[in-house]
Amino acid sequence: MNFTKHARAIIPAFAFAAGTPSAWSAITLAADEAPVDPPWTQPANFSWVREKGSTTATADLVLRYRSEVQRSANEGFASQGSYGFGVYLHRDNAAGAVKNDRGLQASYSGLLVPDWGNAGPVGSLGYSLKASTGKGLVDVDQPSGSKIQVDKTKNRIVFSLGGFLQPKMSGAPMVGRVPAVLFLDGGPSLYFDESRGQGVMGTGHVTGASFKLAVNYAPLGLEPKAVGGLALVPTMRLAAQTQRDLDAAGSRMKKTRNLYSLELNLLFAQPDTATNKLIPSLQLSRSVGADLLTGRADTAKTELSFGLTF
Amino acid sequence: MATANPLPHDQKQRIETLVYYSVDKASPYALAYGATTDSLEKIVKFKLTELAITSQGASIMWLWINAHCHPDAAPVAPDVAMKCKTVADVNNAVMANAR
Repeated sequence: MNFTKHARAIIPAFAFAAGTPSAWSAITLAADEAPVDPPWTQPANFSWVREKGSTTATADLVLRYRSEVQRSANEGFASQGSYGFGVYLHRDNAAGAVKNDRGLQASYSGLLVPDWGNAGPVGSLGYSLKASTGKGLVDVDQPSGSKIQVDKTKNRIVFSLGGFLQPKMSGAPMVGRVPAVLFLDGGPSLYFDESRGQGVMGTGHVTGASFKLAVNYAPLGLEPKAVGGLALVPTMRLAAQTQRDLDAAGSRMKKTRNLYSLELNLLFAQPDTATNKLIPSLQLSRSVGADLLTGRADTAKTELSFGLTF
Repeated sequence: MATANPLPHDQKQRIETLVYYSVDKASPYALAYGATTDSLEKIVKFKLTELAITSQGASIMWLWINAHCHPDAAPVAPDVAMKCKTVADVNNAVMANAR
């Protein structure tokens, strides 16, 4: 079991307007979405991790450009989408660090809402196409069975569909009563992942498909519950993912990777009257498995994270 | 941009119909089938969380509003949309963009 405790500061976004008022665009530092689905969850943050007697400092930086949102609609659906371009950098000072990634990414992502009528569940379909190129340390299997980490050029294309489904609720809502919330998200994706350079081992590409399904539950609803000057929003998330390589070339081999996780989150939201202050959050997570697209090797770990958002 | 003059009745009614339909689309409750929730006047006092609307539900609601509000209103900017906590806030934000 790998138990870590870290504090992170989430840097606020800096947005710059460009172009004419009719064509607003933005360059965003500290975007809310990482460019290449990396293993860190908050881009543009700094953290310190104390583990096994040593301290590691890490920095995640993201500079992203996102185009103006384009919308289209008729009586049967509404959709929107936008292009994005980004550069990313992840550094840490640990000996044998496995996450020193840097590179470029381009993407198109969108959201489609069909008009199924309003008496049933709430649903939407997200879709994205992301292409990235950059350098990063990858795990390379040795003939002896051990692993080493090698800095390689990585090219990747990922197409994903992301469904959202919130089951229909019976009864009638009431003012002053915040109901528990349950919803599902996830979906399939196709990926192409290529590694080149720094020797034959680990060089080549794999193509594959994955499927992810997550159940999210907020037992007290999504309205903060006042407790001692703060307000709590507890949520739980149970996720399962399987990734299967359909083809492999070079020295890479086809694999099937599974990843399971359980997260318990406590967001200490400020009451509406006390905005613009630090909002702490606490997350306890247990995860088992591997994920090619985040660079996670097959492992099991329990993490307790303390965050500060401002 | 806020309008200086009162909106024409037809335009105001179209916007209110769109807001109600979009809120109903984002809520897992069948609002239109409930005697206490079958009109905008009856739900305007609700917080979005009381209607079990998630952050993704809010995204669905704003996409439906912004994609269908033309020509009665301009799309609501994301920074305004994220501040809306109640159905009244949503309706006021769209009405403020009427043109």
